[in-house]
Formats: sequence, C-alpha cells, structure tokens
Amino acid sequence: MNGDPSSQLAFKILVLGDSSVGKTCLIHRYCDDTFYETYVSTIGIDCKQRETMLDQIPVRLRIWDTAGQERFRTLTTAYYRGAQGILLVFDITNEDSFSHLSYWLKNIEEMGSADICKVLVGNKCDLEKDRAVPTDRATKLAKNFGVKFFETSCKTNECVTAAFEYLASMIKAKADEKLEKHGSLQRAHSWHKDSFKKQSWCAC
Amino acid sequence: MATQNGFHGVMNGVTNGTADIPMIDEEDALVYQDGHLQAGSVNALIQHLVPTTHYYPDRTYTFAFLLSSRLYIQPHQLMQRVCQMCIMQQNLYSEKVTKESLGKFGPHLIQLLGEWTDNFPYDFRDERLMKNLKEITQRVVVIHPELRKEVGILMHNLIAKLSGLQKYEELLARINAEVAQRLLNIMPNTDIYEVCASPLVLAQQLTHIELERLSMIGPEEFVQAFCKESELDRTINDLKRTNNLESYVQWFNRLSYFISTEICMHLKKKNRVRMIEYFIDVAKECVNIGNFNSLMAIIAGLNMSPIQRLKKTWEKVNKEKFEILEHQMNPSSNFGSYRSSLKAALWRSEGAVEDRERIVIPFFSLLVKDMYFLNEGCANRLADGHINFDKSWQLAKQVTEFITWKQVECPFDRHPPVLNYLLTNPVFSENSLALASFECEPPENHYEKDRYKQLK
Repeated sequence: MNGDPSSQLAFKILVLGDSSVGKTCLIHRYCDDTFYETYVSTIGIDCKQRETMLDQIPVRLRIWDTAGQERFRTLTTAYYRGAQGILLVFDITNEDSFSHLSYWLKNIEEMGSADICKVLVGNKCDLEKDRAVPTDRATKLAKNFGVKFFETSCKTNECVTAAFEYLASMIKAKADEKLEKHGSLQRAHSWHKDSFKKQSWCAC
Repeated sequence: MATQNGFHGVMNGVTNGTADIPMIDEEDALVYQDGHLQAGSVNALIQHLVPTTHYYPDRTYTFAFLLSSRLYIQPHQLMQRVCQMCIMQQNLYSEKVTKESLGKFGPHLIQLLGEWTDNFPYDFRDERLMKNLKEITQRVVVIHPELRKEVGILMHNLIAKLSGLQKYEELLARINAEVAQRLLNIMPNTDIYEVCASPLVLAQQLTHIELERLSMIGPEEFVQAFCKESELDRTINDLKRTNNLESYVQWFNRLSYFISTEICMHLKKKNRVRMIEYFIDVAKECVNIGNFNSLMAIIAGLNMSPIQRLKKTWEKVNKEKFEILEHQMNPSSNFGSYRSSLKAALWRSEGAVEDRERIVIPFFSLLVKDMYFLNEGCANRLADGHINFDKSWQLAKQVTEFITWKQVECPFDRHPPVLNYLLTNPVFSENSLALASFECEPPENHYEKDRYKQLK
C-alpha cells in the first residue's frame, strides 16, 4: 500500500452554476491548461486535476466542469455521483445567476450526498462597475445556507486558489473525521507522508 | 515547415487606392504545414474562399471556413466582403466585361453560393445576406444567361429550406400552445401504456421525434452557441436567428420529465413497477435502434430524485436490466462505455443496407459538451493575430459527422396518437413531481418531511 499513487487522497469536486458565470475560466485559472486540448472525445479524460498540499499531505483534486451542460436539467444526476465538494458559482454582474442559486441549492440538497461540502463563489469581481449583486446580499445568503462565500476574479486571479483550497480543506476535515471514527488516522498520515516524498507535485 | 502561398494573378482586377480591401502582402498570406492549411489572416482566408476564372476552393475548406468564420466575422459581413472582392477582381460592373473574359468565374461563383445556401441556409434569414445573394446572382446571370436555370434552382432550394424552417417553428409553437392549454385541464386518467403497449413501437415513435428535431439543427448552431463568450460579444442578438438546438435540448428535458410523470402519477405500487419496467424495455429498444438520445433521457428520467427515492417500488423492479442500461450513462472515463456503444452503432451504420440500420442518434448533451470543450481548448487566434485554422478543421470534422447522422430518413411507421401523447401530454413540474412522489411513498427523513410540508 505504501507509496502507491492510487492510494493518494483524491477529492471529486463539481463546479456548478448558470451558464456564462465563468465556471470553465475558474477551473482553467486554478488548474494547468493541458486538459482541453486532449479532452475532446478521448476516452479516459474527463476532468481537470491539480495537486495541492493540505496539512502537509498531497491531495489530488479532480475538478469536474459541467459547463455547456446547464440546459440539460435532468443530467446533473450523473455528475453528482461520488462528488465530495461543490463550488457553486454565480456572476456578480448578473442578477439572474444569483437568484437562480436557490434552484442549484435545492438541486444539490436532492442529488448530492448528505455530507457534501459547499462553497459559494461570486465570480467576475474585477467588474466592480457592472456589479448587480452587492457583497452583503451574497454574504447573507451564504450565511443562511451555512456556506463560506468568496468573491473571485479569473482576470486578476483574486481568491481563485483560496476558494478551491478552502473547499478542499473542508472535504479533508470531513474525511479525517471519518477516519478518526475508524481509529486509523495515524496510519493514514504516515503513508501519505511517504508518498509525498516520492511524488512530484505542483508547488503553487 | 511552414510555407507561404501567394495568390497568383488573383488580384488583377484591383487597382490601387480604389479598394477598401487591402492587397494581399507577405503578412497576409496563408500559413501551411505539410500541405495543411494552419492559419491566416481573416482577409487571406476570405480571399482563399473567393473563386476566380481558374481557381475554385476545396469543398472541405469552404465548409470549414463558412462554419467557423462566424466566431470572428458575422455571416452578413462575410457575404459582403466576398461580393466586394468578386466585383473588384473581376470588374463585374464594368461595361467591358464579357463572358469570355470571365472564363469559369461565373459557374464557380454560383457553385460556391450553392454550397453556402445548401450547408448554411439559415444564414439567409438575414435580409442583408439575401439581398447580396440576389444582387450578385442577377449580375452573373446578365453576363452568363446560360446560368439562369442553375440560379433558379439554387434560389428554389434555399427558399424551400427557409420555409421548412418556418413551418417547423410554427409546429413547435402549436405544440407548446397545446401543452399550455392542456395544463389548465385536469390530468387525464390514461397513461402511455394504454396509448402504446409495445415498447418497440414507443421506441420507434421516439426515434421519429428525435430525427425530426435533429434534422432541423443547422451545423452553424453549434458554433453560434459559443459566440456569446467570444469576440462577437455584443452582437449575439444580431447573429442568432434560430433556436433549433435549444428546442432539441428542451425535448430531452421534456422526455425525462415525461418518464417520471408517467411513473409518479400512479398511486398503486404495482402500476409504478409495471411502468418502470416498461420504460426499461423501451430504453433497451432504443439501444437496438441506435437512438442513444432517447435512451439517455429515459435513464435520466428514471434517475430523477422523485423516482429514485421510491425504494419500495424499486424493490419489486427487476433491477438487473436497469443496471446494464445505466452503465451506458456512467460518466467515468469520459462516458467511455457510451462512446464504445456509439462506435459500434457507427460501424453498423457504415455497412448498412437498410435505413433502419443507418440510424445513429447521438447522446446530444455529450456532443454539445465535446463541441464546447473543443471551442474552449483552442484559441480562435494565434499569438500573431492570425486565425487558428486548425480549430476550424476540428470543428468541421465534428460537425460533418453530425450532418451524416441527421440526414437519415426515419423508416418506421408513424403512430399519430402516440406521437401526440408524447409531445403534448402535460408533464409535472419539479414541485408537482416531488409532491406526487411523496404521495406514492411517504417522506422518510427530516429533509423530505420539511420539503413535503412546504409543498403541501
């Protein structure tokens, strides 16, 4: 089991929200750019990945892009399977994308697993002059649903990493909690440290 | 190695200073790699499209360029530029111009316009394009009277396609109106099983609807769907003249909701079990036919939460059959299992002798996704500002496959009452579905109980 890359921690994250809120752009910003060239119709490649460090343990984030699929309302089911975290995105310059969040939240409640982690992201915060959703409205909504809120910009890279990695740390905390219940936390830590030494990983 | 290709003798008709289209110079040439067109300026690409007395563009180029050029130039602007170039290069409006001096230019131009109107007829919903088309063809006919008949056929075919589109839109509007009308009435107490007991016949009727909607989608609609995020940001309303892609998506959603409505409206568990098993059989027939879109809509319908939560109902269902089908929709490995099945269907289609073996109706959502990522993954322009024509080739390749699929004639008999039921029978909204589901099997956990209270 030691050092086997398949035993490395990996989290499945789903990026949801209306079309044109900038989901693909966010993922693009956070991950490397190699995915889309090789994606098309290639069997095997279906999400973007990035490795990051959480509590000194390398964690692989598998990020699923649902962009281009928003109109197919009944299809998101397939994507939810096995998802541990959701980055729910709206566009701060687009009121509709904000009011539509209740639809997405209900959808997540119904389709996602009970302990799925969520963060709310207001994207395009570099377009302050076109802002249609005041920060405090979004903060209030996030509070009501018990999720953390980030304002991001793909253009300036503001808070993009923070949003993804906060979500990842939430998922990890949940996973640790579960492991602790099984009393095997210590062992897990030791082999993760081991695999971290052998692997190259993204340092940014 | 990149080589540059000039346009010998192409610019003869242009005198300096009169044209607002610049002369082709070094920087404006096309870039080839291993004989394959890779990139070029917009201007050089348009030039490559315009026929002359001796030159006629390759069909695959014409298709790829007309398809993808709308990412950076609007069709009516392109048409205008093409006409201007023709007029200037051939001196079309000069009194000295003769049939002899034009050589093959006339037939070439009509051929090019024929390809445009054949492959992208919906572009000509734009009156500006139509006006340009009429003007230039009239001018050609004055010089080449023998081309009158061909121009007539071209216009006739184009008008037939445009009026076909209009009729289709009217039909959809009527269907939507009827759905709205019937929503006001009470739910009828019949179900799909009573209307059509045979899963095979239902799968065939679904195929009729799929092929009809699929056939109406213009190849350019895939590309236009991306334009809102590209350079033409502010002109999207100007560009978009069709909604066939959206109508097809709407049908997919309707079918999923239809499936779950038909199940949830039965208060007796026995009937729900029968209904689920019936739809599983229909889905199986869809696979046999090659109708993957209906298959996926049925699976999506059966997987909607109001249906999935009916545990007591599912206990009685033969789940094995469903699991085999559901495997088709497993998104892992980028829908690997579906893509393999699709390949098998394509293989059958290629060797087909009968129309029924030719049918391939792709899982549309994935086709849209592939196109979306193709667009996302490749830049429209290279670092030097040239158009990345490699992207155009790739878009064209994907869309060409789709065109073969949509051209298949549906060989099955039509059953109008069944079609009518599928298209117009009211379906539950999200909330009504949830409510109906709770009435079938009571809420179990806190979340469901709260939801039920809210809904009541």
